[in-house]
Amino acid sequence: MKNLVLTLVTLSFLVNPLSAHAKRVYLEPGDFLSQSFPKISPDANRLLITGDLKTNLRKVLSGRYSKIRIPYWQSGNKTAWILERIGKERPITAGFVVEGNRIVSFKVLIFRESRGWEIHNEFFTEQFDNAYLKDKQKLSNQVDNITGATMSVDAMKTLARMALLLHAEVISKNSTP
Amino acid sequence: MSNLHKFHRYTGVGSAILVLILSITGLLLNSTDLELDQRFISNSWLLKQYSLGEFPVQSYAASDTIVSKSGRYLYLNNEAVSEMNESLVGSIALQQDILIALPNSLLLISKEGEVIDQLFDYSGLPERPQALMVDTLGLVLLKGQNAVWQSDSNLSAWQQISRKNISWPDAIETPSVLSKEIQRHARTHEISLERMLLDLHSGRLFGKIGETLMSLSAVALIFLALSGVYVWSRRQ
Repeated sequence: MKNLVLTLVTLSFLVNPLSAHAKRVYLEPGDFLSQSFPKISPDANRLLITGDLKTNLRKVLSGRYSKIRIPYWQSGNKTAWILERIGKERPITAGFVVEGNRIVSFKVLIFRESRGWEIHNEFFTEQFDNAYLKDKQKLSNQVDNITGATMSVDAMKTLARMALLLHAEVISKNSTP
Repeated sequence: MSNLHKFHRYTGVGSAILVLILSITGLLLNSTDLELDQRFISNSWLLKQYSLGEFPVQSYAASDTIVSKSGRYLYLNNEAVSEMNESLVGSIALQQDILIALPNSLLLISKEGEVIDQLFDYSGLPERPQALMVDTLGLVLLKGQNAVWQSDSNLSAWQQISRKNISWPDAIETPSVLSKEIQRHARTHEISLERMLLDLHSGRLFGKIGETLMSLSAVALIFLALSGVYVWSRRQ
């Protein structure tokens, strides 16, 4: 009995329900861009969120994006986007490369939440490979949830849809004479 | 009545209040729909437990707007417009918007407080800002660690210039009424209800003693469960 109580006391001190909000930089945004465009380094362009794009983006985000102008980098039909979205409390910065209306690369760059950092792992990010937008701006790929990181997972799914939507806008603008 | 049975009863009565706190706060923390992270505590006694101390206000003038930072917020005059953890380096009023210099970026916001854009080193900022001003042509001048830069009208291209003897604007002293208003807001929007409940749940709200008490109440709960089953099985 005495041993049992001692074990329980020890266990109770090991359980820590709190974890601090630490900023984890998995990949510097600049490094993400150099990896995405290894041969050339395109300048940042800016896409203004207005008109139909604004309406569609509101539907994807269920609200407005935190900024009105969004930077992007382009080389031919390939675009790169560095976007932010709050999972639960703090913004998560993610980088997307889109080519031919499909996601060719997705990385979690900076994670600031207290939980859900597992989303930076490859087993999660590779689920977005080749994802494209279906009808009603839905993501083509099934992305599995991570227990305890639901909000971060949802935030990344939303940003993926956003990157695809923004890419389509840029490409359609380029092709308009 | 066996000693274990007696001990079970006394433990139950003794830990009742703490176990109730543990359970109720646990229930509330599990309810994400309540958006407890979006609600803040303003009760002065509770805030005192966090020893928050002073909330200094740092301000720069941007024409007729005073841009300030206190706690984790950015203010345009007395309006909190955005969460921001960095300190201010400078601010200027453009024709329609306000440009704010932060240690690693430039933040462009409308006079209504809507964030338009943020320039980082990877998205067009030539150097980390140290000061900011508008020249006689209405173009933005940026003081970096190594050079002075002049922007085009869209803030999309920067060229190094060799102008000297520029008197860069300093931070201003925040008017006292505004300072008090900002401090009050910053102080009462620092600790979320979720954080307070979490600290109550773990006992940390009352320091080491609270933590130990809550740990003991958890141990008591485990003991009650085990001893309850044991006493019941013996009766059978």
